[in-house]
Amino acid sequence: MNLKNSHLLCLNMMGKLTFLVLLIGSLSIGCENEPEPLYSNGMVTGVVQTRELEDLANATVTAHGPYGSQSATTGTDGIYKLSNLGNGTYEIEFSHEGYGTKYRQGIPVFGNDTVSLIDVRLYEKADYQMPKLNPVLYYSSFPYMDEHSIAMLTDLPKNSTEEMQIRIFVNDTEEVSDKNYLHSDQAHAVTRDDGSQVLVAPVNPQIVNGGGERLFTKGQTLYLIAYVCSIREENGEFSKYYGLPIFSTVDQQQHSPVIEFKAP
Amino acid sequence: MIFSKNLLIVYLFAILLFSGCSEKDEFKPYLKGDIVGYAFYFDEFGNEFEDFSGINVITLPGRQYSAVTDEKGRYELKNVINGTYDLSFEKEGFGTMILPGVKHLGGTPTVMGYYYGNEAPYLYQNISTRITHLEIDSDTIVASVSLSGPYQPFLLRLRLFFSERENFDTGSAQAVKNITVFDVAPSYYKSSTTKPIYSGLPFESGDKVYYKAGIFTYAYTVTFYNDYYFEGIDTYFDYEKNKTIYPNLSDESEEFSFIMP
Repeated sequence: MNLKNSHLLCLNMMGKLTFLVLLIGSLSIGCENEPEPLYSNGMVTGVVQTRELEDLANATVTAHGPYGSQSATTGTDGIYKLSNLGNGTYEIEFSHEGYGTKYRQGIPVFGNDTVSLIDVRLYEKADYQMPKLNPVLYYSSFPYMDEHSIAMLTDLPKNSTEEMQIRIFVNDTEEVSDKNYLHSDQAHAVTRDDGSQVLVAPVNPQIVNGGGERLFTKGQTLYLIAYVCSIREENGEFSKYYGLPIFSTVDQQQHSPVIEFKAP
Repeated sequence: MIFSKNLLIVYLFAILLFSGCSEKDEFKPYLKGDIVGYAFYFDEFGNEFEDFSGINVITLPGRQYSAVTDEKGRYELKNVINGTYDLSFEKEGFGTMILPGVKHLGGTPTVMGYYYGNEAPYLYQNISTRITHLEIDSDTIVASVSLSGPYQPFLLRLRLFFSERENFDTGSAQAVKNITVFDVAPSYYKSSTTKPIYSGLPFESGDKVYYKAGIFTYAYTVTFYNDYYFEGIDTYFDYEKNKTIYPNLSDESEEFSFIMP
């Protein structure tokens, strides 16, 4: 090799080395981003039922986990099987058109475990629109109301109030939702003497937490959001993830804007 | 020459290719994920605070990951690599609680929560009430205490330690009893047990028995939300020391004695 060509060889070598470094770099990044399960025969199974404990066919059950998402559909017996799951912790989503969506968080699948999820019930969704809510009125306007209730004038059509179910969520911050609240209750539609419709919701400042502390003080600024829901008296299902009862029948798409008011 | 350099590159490439992934093979599955849960704290009389913020949650061993609870007591340890951890719950002025053996697989969050599994620790403020005098009188025990504030709880829970040896260490006590005493006068508490204090103690009649006590706190109230009702854990088992740890127990009183009837 003569001296004249040596720099060309050097460039050639540098190019190859650069290529090599980039290749190894991308490979090592690939190693971190693509975990492989130690076992991949885990299974999550169970039955999805309706509120009346009837088996619900054609419900979609999706396991969201470390390797992506995987879905299965329930058979006529309501049973689903999500198989060949890699080990890791999963969130399972249950949904069906016309029904509320339910989630179960923190489901561990390890080794070749079969995990059974019990008592999963989906409730039918309501099929009406969220009424427009006007600013909050207080009990003094309505002698028949409880002194701790608030009311909102609505554009509900007459005689539509019986089946209308609205659940309210109250918090002391504007960040109020069905997953971030201090107090929740069912609102009831009432027809006033003049024929107008109001939505009445109890917001009792005497409601206390476990330590006997009041959740609200009278006159405190609070924020409210109302959702259409399909069940009159749903206690919700306590979520370990959110630390609150979660109401699967509230319709995420059908809610009011956040309304500011003073605690009665 | 060029041929041999190419060979060298291929060789280097092969080495780096395999060494680059060897870690993945060793630690497979290499998953991370959050750990979400709740912790609560109470004052020394077992009353709940208004908010539960400021508890430091730290993974052991190594104290590699940490989080702080918000006002609802919720914490989120972020991107924790999979493994089995002890979670330490620490707050200045409060007893430290440890949840041993938390299994974390990684992926979507591991959820601890306060539901069914007794996975939410309760922390208690360090006890400032001091036992100034103890007296066992036939079937009752009376305790005089010094309270740090005007609040006088209507009952105190005592953990009594007994031994035949003078100046004994509570860890080597020959007998331990938990007894509740009720207020009968300011700073003065008395037991109302149906069984004599002496019953079941492993001592002979005429023995001089030494005893001391600590004040033992647990939640007078429990957390609840709407119709949900929760009771957390306030002690843990230390596998290295092979004994139960009571972070909710005050410093022990001085030593008193009685003659076993």
